[in-house]
Amino acid sequence: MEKLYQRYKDRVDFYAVYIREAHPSDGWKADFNERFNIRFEQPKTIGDRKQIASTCGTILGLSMPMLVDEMDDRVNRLYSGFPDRLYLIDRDGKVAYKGGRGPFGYKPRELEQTIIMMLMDDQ
Amino acid sequence: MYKTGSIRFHGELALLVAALMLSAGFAARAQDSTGSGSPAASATGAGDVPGAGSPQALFSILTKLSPQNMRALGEMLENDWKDRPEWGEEAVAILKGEGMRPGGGWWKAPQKRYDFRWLRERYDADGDGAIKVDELPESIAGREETFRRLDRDLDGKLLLLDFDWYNRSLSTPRAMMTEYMFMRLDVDSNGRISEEEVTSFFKNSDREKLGFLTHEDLFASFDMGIMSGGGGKPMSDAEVVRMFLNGELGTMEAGPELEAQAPDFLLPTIDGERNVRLSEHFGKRPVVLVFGSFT
Repeated sequence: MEKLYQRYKDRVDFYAVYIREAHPSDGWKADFNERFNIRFEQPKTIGDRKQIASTCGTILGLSMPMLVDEMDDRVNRLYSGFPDRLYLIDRDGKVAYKGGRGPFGYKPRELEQTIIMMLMDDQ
Repeated sequence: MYKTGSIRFHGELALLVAALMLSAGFAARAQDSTGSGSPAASATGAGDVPGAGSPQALFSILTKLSPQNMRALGEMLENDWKDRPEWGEEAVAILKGEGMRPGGGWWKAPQKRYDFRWLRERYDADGDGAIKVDELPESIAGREETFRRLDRDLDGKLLLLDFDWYNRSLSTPRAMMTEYMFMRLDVDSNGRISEEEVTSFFKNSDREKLGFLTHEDLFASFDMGIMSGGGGKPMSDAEVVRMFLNGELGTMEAGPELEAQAPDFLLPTIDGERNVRLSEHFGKRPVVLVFGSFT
């Protein structure tokens, strides 16, 4: 995603929306996370969530602006974002691409193709 | 009416379960909102008695069913529960044992305004059903590079294949294996497995640095998280049901559809420096939203 951001950020605004943890250590664990020592409990406060989000951004090398969802998961619920999902919204505020539900449907390359075609549509 | 052993099901039972699921769906949303995914907590604290309308109530009922009867119930609901919402699709799929299958339940194809057909309608000058680089307008900056990014298999032609990332039914072991291996190896999610990614997989799997992989190494490495369950075991039906009712498989809400107005929101940036309102971008620039978390 970082590559996509770098490539198109001059024409498209990117926002990472950090939502509730998919596999917190007090919920259902993913061995993958345990193996790499990724262990976070589901954050209890917005401050905790911001801290985890910040760590995530650093480790993943994400430089795009990151927003943090409220603790009531309101934006996650608005957009059905959990566990992960991609959207492209056009200039008029209409949904031009709605990715499938993650993890199966999370396809950055597909998003890129859509961005390219949308930009072509603008010209 | 279904007859299974000495038990008879009626259509009414199916509708009762649908009603229970609706209440469990609301309860799951409530759990979603507190951010707690813990399944074990009982609302009453009185031992095995779950709280009314809680996911635990429905869970404890459903898991009493034999696998055959759970599937039968899924089929009844599929029949009787007309116009079910997206989460209802997943509920039915789970009962039928297809809850984690990409392409089944709520794991649907993406919705896109721009697809191959859009491209072909505009740029297939010679009408041969494929787009070549010279058929793209010259006015596009970096036309060759842009073409390459669209050309998924890099064969010099844009065809439907290049735009179809959707995993259809993974019914054969071969299709499933391919899909799992691809997801496991394609660490940067660019749709291609590079030699580096294979080498990196090897190195990470070679835990004892022996220069080769044992059966155990491979088994441990083929942990697909949500697809294989904790401990590398395939997820039992009961686990999938529990996760679903606790909102751990995905958000119960469906989100905005294609061409719908994107719902507005106001959220702080991570450093707290500013608040971003989505609607401020309308009339200015397109917006990409990337939803996710770390784990």
